[in-house]
Amino acid sequence: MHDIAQEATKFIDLNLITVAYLFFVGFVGGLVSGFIGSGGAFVLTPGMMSLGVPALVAVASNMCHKFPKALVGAIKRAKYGQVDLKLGLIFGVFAEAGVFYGVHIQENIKRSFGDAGSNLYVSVAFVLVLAIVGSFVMRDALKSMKNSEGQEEEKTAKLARWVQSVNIPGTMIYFKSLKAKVSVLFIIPLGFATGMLAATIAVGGFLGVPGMMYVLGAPSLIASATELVVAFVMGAGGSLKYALHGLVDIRLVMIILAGSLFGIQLGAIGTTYVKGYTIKLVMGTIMITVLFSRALMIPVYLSQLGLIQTLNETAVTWLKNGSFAIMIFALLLGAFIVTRALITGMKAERKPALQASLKQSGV
Amino acid sequence: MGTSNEKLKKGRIAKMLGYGALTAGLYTAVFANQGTVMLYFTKGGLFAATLPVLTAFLIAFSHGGFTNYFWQVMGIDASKKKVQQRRQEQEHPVEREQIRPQPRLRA
Repeated sequence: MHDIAQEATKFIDLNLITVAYLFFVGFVGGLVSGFIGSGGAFVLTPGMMSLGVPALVAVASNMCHKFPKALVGAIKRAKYGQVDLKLGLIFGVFAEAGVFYGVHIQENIKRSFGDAGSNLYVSVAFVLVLAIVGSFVMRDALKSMKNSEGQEEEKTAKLARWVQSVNIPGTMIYFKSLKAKVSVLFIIPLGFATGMLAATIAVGGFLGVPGMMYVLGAPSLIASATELVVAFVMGAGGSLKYALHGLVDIRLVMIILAGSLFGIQLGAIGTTYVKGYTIKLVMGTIMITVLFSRALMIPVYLSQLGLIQTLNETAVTWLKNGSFAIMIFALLLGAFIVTRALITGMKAERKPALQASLKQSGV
Repeated sequence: MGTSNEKLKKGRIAKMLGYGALTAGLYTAVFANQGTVMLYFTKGGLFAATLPVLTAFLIAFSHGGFTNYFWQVMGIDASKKKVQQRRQEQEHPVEREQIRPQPRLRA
């Protein structure tokens, strides 16, 4: 409690550059989140820390910006018929439990192995999840792109078809988006793991969205939209927990929200112009790129723990800066794909109307 | 048709300005009184914890509303084709093929 109180007194002074930086990162993060249901958060926490914000305040403020952003995004995508509220709320409840357990594990690791041990744990989790899930999502996106040829309906994965065929009396719930009944016993571990991942690497959606797609059989547009409901539930609960310790810097929250609420609306609009595989493509691209970013930091933490030869200061600085730069690049790359998809889609839809009006006016 | 489009656009601009004014007021109130706000918002305990959470909800309402109408006024909106298609699918869902074998009573 004493440590937490000390952290709470170190709130940074704000200047124009800090405000502009947080607004911009918030906007880009919101754009990506509105499209794939998650993904902005992993840049914001280290982004805030690079401004001198203590780690706990950065995590707390990030969490407190996440749930209103997710709420606005979910409402927008619900207007487009993309949200399965029942699935999102049930998933969210178990994800919340996963968040609390994940935080408990983090605290134990930090107590036993210190900051370096905690950072190593987070990085290994990043690398494992992003490598396994990210490459699967990317492979599926590329396969879907090749096979799309006018097909709007996505194929349900084999695993999801099996899950939907399992009948466990007393546990079955019908979900509109799945057009099927699924046992809640499949949703519990999936939701719990999503929450644990959110507590560990700040982005539960990297498990939640693929989980909904490949295990439950939700179309990618529905999965990414429903994840916003899950993010809202997790974020609201987590924010209250951190706010109880006085760790939320509402100024940072408001500046990030100023940008991210612009971005999330745009990202949500973008989903109405694309086929499902574009969601997978953006998600896979960001996950694979961030994988390299986190992999660069593993030698640094191994060196700090004395598990490998101590790295000199220059090497550590290069690795840290390289990791941060790749992370920013991942977010910008995702934002670029989303923006391009939106502009291309809008042009294609408006072209016939424009041609007709030009014809009418005799041009 | 032209008049109703104009009315719609004016309505959106009015809502954008309304939400914008509310948002500007909220941000001014917080940042003009940073010291006091941070003192109370970071006190800890249950009452103080609700302050940042409630503020975040207020911003979701006001700034969420402003940004929603902002993009509409800029002419950036959802694909009408796809949204209409999805609404039709929801009203007339296609029956999924049966995955589970249906139980049959043998007489």
